[in-house]
Amino acid sequence: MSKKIKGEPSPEIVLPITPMLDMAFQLLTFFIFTYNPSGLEGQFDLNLPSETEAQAKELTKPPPPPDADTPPKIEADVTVVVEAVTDEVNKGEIAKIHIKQNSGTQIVGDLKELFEKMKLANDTATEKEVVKIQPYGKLKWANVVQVADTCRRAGFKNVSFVEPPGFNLSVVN
Amino acid sequence: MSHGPSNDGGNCEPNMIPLLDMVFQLLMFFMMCVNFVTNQVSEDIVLPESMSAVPMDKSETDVLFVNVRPFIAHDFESKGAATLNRLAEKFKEGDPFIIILGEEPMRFNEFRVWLRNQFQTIKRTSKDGKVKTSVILRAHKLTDYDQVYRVMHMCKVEGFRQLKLRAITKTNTQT
Repeated sequence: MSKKIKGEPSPEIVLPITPMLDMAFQLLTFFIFTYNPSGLEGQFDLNLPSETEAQAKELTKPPPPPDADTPPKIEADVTVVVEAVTDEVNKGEIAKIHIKQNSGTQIVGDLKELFEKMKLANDTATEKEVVKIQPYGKLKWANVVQVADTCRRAGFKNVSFVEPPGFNLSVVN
Repeated sequence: MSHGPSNDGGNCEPNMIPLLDMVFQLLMFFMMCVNFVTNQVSEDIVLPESMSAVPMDKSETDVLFVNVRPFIAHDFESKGAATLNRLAEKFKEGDPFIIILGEEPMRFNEFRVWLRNQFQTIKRTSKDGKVKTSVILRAHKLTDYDQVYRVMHMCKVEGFRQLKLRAITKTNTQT
């Protein structure tokens, strides 16, 4: 057991700060350079029922009860057809958007107008309304997502994508 | 003055403790923010922006990542001449292709075979013989819709029932 000698100063413990600081700065530099403050990645679900499952669901669904007091509602199945620009400069951009309903077809030019029309359509629609989006094959995916986004914001919770007009499955690269 | 320079020739060391505290706090911040999820996905994909995309469910582990994008030589120049040449040999400018981590970039017909094999393997190894795997589709924003639809259709034909489309969450609230 060590005894402290009276009058002798206690030994000073020196921590080697410099190497630790060097290492900390190196790590800090690494993380600063690799830090990528990109937007958060999100997702939206899409079910891919087999054709037989989809048919079974249709058959088991009970028909809605008739009610004379409620006003007639717009057909639940709304299809949004999105045409693509084909010229070389703006290839793949949105050209025209058709909103197809039982009551007729409306043509809108941009997403803002689509939002307004879809909101109106949703106000008079049933809860389980489904919107089908049918973009042209050459439309860029970013624009398709924007259209889907607009439909969701207008209240259409069930968005499904259908095959583009004139689509040929057998053509594979 | 107590803070003035000393004339007695004693040690004059800067106080390192606050500096060290700050460095460690910054270090902690960057370490916490580093996104380790990216080891599952391809950084060659620039996702479209979406306001309605919901945050990912990180607890979900039974997933299959599928990345699709068109071949644009300019985008791959930074990867080096060897990678660019390898891709240019296989794909023409604008050709869509599939990127799966750990696999060579695939054409669609190769992807179909790969997807079929994956489905069979998952089905064989699952306890109840059912496939509950979700396909996470990460499509580059410049991909044509018909190519994205083709991938979705292939997933459906091969037997996958859950599909999740990835997008960058946009927080803008304008209508």
